[in-house]
Amino acid sequence: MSTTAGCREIRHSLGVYVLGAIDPADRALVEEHLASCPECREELAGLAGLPALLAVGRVPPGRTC
Amino acid sequence: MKRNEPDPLPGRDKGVVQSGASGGWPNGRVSDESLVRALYAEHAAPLLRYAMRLTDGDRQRAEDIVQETLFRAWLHPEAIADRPARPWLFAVARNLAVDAHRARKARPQEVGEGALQLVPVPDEAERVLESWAVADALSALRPEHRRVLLETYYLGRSVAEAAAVLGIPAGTVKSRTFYALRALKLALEERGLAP
Repeated sequence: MSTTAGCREIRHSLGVYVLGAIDPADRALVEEHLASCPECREELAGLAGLPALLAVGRVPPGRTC
Repeated sequence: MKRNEPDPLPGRDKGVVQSGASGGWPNGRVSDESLVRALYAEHAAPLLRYAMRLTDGDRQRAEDIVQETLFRAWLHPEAIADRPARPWLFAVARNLAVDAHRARKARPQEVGEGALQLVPVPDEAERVLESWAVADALSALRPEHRRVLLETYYLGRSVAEAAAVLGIPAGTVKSRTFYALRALKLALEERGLAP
């Protein structure tokens, strides 16, 4: 298995992975790769906080007027 | 398949407001601030009246529905770019009300408003500022990045569903989502929000 090619593909999947849009088969591949790749884990850590912030943007709190 | 919104324009991935369009948006690509203002000015009052009926007169819930509906319209300008906006807005509001009603029925009883008023909310102002910073950061993204985040996150679509709606390969949905999140992270950092 070529690590660099694997990393590239896995990284492209990390976005849909953190947003929960990933397909189950891809999810298994990503998680297997993450278990053995610290660089990709670091990339994931950089994205992991974003869904919570997107959720803040979802319903602007407060009133209409 | 989530059903929060009617399908906007299946297969189209323009993601930009068409200049000179004869639809719900004034003046083609206007600034986001005036877009938000125009949306509120034109649609907030009738939407609120409609939402009040949907929520049996619960004003707070009705206002939440209006906020969410207009927020989606702002995130998703192409949905109403070439046609009258109101039918789409009302459909979104109606679906949000139905979903909220279902979610409430599935939950244990909510805490009464009286009890909630006893809970201090010192960070309310901060939350408002934060939500606008996030909205502002989203508005700074390229339209196709904003669109893919709308599909995969806000509408909860899977990669395959988003690919079908946008008319692009699944691999493009993945890579576009990844670069959209990277761009969003930068935009948030510029606004003092470090994820």
